[in-house]
Amino acid sequence: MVTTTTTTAATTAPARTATWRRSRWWEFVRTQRLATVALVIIVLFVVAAIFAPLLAPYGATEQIRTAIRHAPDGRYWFGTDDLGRDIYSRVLYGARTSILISVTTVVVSGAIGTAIGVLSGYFGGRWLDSLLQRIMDAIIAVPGLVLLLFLAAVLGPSIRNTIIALIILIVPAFSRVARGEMLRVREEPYVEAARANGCGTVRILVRHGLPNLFAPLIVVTSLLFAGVLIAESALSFLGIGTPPPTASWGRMLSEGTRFLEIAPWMVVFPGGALTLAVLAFNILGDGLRDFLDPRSRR
Amino acid sequence: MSLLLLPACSGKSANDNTDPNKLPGVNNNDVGTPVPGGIYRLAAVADAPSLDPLKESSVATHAAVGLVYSKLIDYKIGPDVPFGTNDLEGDLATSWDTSTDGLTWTFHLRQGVKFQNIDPVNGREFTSADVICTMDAIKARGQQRGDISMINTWTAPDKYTVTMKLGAPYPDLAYKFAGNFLWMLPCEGTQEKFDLLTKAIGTGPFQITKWVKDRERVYAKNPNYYVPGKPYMDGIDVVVIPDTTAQAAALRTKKLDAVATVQDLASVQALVKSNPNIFVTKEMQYAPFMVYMNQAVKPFDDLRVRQAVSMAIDREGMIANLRPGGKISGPVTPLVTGALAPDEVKSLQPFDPAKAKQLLAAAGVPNGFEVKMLVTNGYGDTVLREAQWVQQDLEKVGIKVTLDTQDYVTYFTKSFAGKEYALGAGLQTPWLTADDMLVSQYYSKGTRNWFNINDPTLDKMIFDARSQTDATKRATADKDISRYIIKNVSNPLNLYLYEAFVLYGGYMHGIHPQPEYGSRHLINVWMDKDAPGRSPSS
Amino acid sequence: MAEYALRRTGYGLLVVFSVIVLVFLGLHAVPGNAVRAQLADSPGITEEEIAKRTAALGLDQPIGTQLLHFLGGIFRGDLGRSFVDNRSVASEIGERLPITLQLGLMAVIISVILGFAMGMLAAVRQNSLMDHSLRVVSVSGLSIPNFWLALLMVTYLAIYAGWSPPLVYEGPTQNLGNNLAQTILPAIALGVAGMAGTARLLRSSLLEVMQSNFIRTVRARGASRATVLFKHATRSSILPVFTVLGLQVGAILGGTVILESIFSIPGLGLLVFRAVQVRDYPVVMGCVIVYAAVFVLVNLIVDLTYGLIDPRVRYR
Repeated sequence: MVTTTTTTAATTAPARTATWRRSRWWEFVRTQRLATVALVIIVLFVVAAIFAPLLAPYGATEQIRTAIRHAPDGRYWFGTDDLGRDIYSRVLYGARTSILISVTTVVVSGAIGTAIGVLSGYFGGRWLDSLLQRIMDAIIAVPGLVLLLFLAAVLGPSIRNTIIALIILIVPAFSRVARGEMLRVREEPYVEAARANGCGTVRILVRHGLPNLFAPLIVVTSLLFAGVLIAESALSFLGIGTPPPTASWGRMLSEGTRFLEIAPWMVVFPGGALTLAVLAFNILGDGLRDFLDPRSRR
Repeated sequence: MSLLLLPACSGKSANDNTDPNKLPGVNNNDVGTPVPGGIYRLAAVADAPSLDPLKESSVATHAAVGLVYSKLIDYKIGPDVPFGTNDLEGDLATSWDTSTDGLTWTFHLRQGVKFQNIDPVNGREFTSADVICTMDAIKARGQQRGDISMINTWTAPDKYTVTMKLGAPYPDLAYKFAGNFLWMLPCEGTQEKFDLLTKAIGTGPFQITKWVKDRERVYAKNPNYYVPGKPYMDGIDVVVIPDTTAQAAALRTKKLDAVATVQDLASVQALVKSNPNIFVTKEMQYAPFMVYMNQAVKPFDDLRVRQAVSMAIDREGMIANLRPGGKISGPVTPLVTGALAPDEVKSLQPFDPAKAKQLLAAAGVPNGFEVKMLVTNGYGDTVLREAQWVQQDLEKVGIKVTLDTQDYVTYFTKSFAGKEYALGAGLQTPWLTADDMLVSQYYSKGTRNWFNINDPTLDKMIFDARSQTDATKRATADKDISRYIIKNVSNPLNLYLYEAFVLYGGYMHGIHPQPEYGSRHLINVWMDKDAPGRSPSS
Repeated sequence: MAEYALRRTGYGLLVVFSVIVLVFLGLHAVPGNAVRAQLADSPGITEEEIAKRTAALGLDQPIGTQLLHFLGGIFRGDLGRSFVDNRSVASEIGERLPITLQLGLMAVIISVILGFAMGMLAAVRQNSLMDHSLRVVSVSGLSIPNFWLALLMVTYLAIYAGWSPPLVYEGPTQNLGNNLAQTILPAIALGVAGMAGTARLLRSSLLEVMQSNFIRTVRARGASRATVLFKHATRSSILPVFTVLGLQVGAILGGTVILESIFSIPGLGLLVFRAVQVRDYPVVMGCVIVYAAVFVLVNLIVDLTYGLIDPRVRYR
């Protein structure tokens, strides 16, 4: 079900000049309004994450003992939590934790998953493909949180182990997309031609395989960011994800739930930030998919 | 020498509603005459892993079977008995005496006590044979073997007498039998004629009629119970609700009669606002929050560093902000005979960050140091909050702490018991006697001495106190030991005992609990005629 | 078709086998020890006592031997015994699996029926206010964590409606009313994400089909948009929904772990969570395997159904 509009068949596509790239950007902004907004929001989150120490009025773990569970006011914009920590600062630092975890997870599992998928797809039907796919299928077969629970319990609670568990969870998604693309691409005439010309496997994979993967991978990446954010918050809620006193939205949600009635700001702001980030990634993913592959508008 | 009564300790009453402005809600606890009947509906955060008291040491199991079994001796219960009393009374034993050399104890059993009428015990009479069976089983495979390790032999000269011979005098023996674990089991249980893991048949006030693991435990009144007219209530329904928000919602909508998971006053007030007929109490919990150090790891081998840690922590701040209330504690927790008074503890272990920094400088680490603190999420959110508070306190004197959060099993068995840590924080076992606390933790070969404490003077003091038969002298000796520990060991640091809010429906009466794991006090609890637990579909 | 069915089934069994092996090896690399945990709070237990119990539970044998034992047991339908209360793992799981399955089924029904309704409505009224609001609702549905939604529902229903779900779980055969009252909230929380996904997928699939030549012909002949939608377009637009149904069920199954904890529904999710906390190895392994087996089975059914509907798939 994949399009041909972005095939980079060497002969037919326009040259990828800088102008072309810029105009593609403008086209995106013009046609995908909502997704552009989403992109802006994501950029804001990233900025908040990077510059948290500069933007946050208080430390992430700084306990102001005289200001326990204060409602939002001039000094504490989002209020304070049950240890007197400023929630606005924690939400900013939480962006840092969330971005750190999700970026690391997505990048690493993207690399691993794509590599697996590409190898699998290119050698499709042979023993390597079968072996890799069996492992991928075993991972997919265990429902998300059960798998994460199992892995996090095996490895222990820490940020590093949460990332490892999430990576294992996400790799099959990348692998599947990459493999699908490769299976298609390897039948293309130019690939056959390249092979006939004596080009090595690696060269073929890199020159012809990877560029085709760009579009579907970008789409799935955006959606997976959303999934990773939610998965991490679920783990923290169960008491297994990022440990205290690190500021992480998921953990803040779980700590705040018991005060939902008397201090709802403890839950509203981190929950809102989380939902907004997830929403933004979902909408961006939608927009990218519509843009790069208009025939399968979703 | 008869040891029926021991000096009372003025513990804080569980229902400390002396100031009506302090705790919200109603208090009709001691109002009215008891009306029998009704079902008491409770929630538990987790179910008992099994019903076998020989196998499980977890409080969930003993709370579950505490209603079904009885002990030889128990802490006194009643409306005028203060919470945390050290007075004992006979449960299955009517009296007990010690020989003059302190080596022979004789227990006289209550006559005419019947087991619950469940197969294969079928309501027969409880006799000394059951005591022998139980003691044999505990010695052979019980998790509580250590509690009877000082007894060499036990015999039953007749149906209602049990004689025990000790190797050395142990004046606190009665307390052991009143403790958390020494339930008397029927011979059919210890001889495996029924499965102790899934069934409990005892002489207690309630019997289990249904147990669906992780769902509910249903108890019915034991018609054979030896106290006539009691228990008042017809039964107890314990539902397993792991989530605290859900428990609060259930209390609010009157589906539960008691809830113990609400931790802070503001939430209690919110609950009471929507459902005013709630009786709010504070119960002192016996498991102290402690900060502990491994004396085999630098720089905690230096007494000055340990004292610095002690002085850096704002105990009262923690109690005020993180818990409903509490009492500062020394090495022996404050509600137990032989404990130091909180005021004295405060003066011996002041909150003095400036002095702490001086001590660190004297010990050669003027700029503090970095260290990992072992904690677990297995004790719940509030303990983690307390650990984070301690972390901040230590940071202010230069000790940079990183929290190492582990799951309960790894924390307890590998890191703590395995002594693979430098600094740690968590709850300690709720021992009920000074001797238990001292011997387990401070004696160089103590079973819970996971701190590498090795002080021969201290060892001698502990065993001298133990053999002191005069109760008053023993209490004084224990207090001296506490003072010695604070001055010369300063580890582990029991910070305080904390209170917990326990909320009951305002229609419940006669609630006067005691801290040990069983709930014999429930025989005195009754509910109003219009209590929700009286209608069959609760 | 038979060949296809056989192929897919064999493949499914292979997946379950891989899961079993991976899970077993993973768990035994773990620190901590079930025996120590049980004796944790009691003073005076000796090392030899611990060694005795460890041996009795078979934890001291080499990993390979333990694995073979385990595999052998599975063939006999024996998943071992719980370390904690010695009950047969298979029977514990057998008691609790139907509960989780019921929850999952309800969630799937909610997600499919509501998802379909929303998707259709949005497609029929494309670009109207209804369409846009439904799209926003569905994207939000995908974005809110299901456990948070559940807690919000529980708390605010208790506060504003004075209602909370019944406390003690009763099966549908014992007391249908109470059972539904207990399971409806978690089912909603679980089904919302799937509902959102289905709605979006169906909407775009319908819109795509509406553009096709076949439909244009029918419309040119004067059929109304609604008629076309329901009579003609639906059949072919359903197919893409199938492709994600399997994954949605996976997400729902995963969600049962948290949701059962919040609503204290004694199903498989609660069982595996507790077992993980106390290192009850046999129970954890049994649960993970069963979860995987259910997932594989559901996907198998979806695949076979898909194969029936769309013959092209059988020859891939």
